[in-house]
Amino acid sequence: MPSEFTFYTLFLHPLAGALKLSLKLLCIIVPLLVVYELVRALPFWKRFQFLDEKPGGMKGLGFSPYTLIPLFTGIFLGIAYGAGVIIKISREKELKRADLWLLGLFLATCHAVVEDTLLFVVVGGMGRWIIIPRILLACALSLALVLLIRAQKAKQISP
Amino acid sequence: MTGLKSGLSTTCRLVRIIVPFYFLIEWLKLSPILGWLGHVLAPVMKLWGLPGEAGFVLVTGNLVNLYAAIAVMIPLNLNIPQITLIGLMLGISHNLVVETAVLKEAKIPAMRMALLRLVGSGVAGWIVSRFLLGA
Repeated sequence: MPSEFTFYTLFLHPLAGALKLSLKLLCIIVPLLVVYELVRALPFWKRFQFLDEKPGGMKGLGFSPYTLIPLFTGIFLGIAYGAGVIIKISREKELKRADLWLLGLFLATCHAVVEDTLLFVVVGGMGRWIIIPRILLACALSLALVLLIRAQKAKQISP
Repeated sequence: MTGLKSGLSTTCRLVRIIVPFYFLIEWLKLSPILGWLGHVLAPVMKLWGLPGEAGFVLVTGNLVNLYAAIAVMIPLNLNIPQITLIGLMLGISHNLVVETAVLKEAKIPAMRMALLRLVGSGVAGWIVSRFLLGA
């Protein structure tokens, strides 16, 4: 780690990193949202919504179908990309508060699982002990939240 | 075409949030703050069966990112279970400054998520350390 305070370490080096990061975001988010729009125009998206109505579908898990794409983007690519899709969708007001909580909870604890795990495997870590407890934690927290939301809904219906 | 346009505007929004924090973190790396926090954490590292220096790794990972944390971890010559444990704890909770800002922009209750991650990381790390280190 550099410990000198120079124009380079204070400004040029961070600026170069920030530019690289911005380019990376651009290269991933633009194609992702183009694909998202395309998928939504396809007839099979309607089938997802049909699934949503069925008991045991995504609604049974507490998610609306719009959350599928940001969820999988986040799990595999990372939180900035998943959140990029969430920002776009939530601006169209397609996400409920419960969706945002569930997505946030799952993604906050379990994202970019491939990259994060490999980073530590490369330096000698045991992959399964890094990835499995992480997925279990995310599932347990989401499940707890779903049960909490359901209990609240039940209370509202029969006070 | 709407995808292209919203892709560009979403990227702009993300860049606007991430870049200031990116600078903040680069400056944090140059400052002595990470070292101080590492010193504060050192005595409690025993809880997870880790040496005191692992506190620097966890502080760096949580405030900066995983790459910086690994750079701090390598010279410590930890054993495989210890590396695995740090990998799990940092996997659950890392890069909190930038990721909290990003989640907030997505209208997700980000501060609460950050807190949950820190607690989850500590608890999961403690449980797994029983298995891995047999402590």
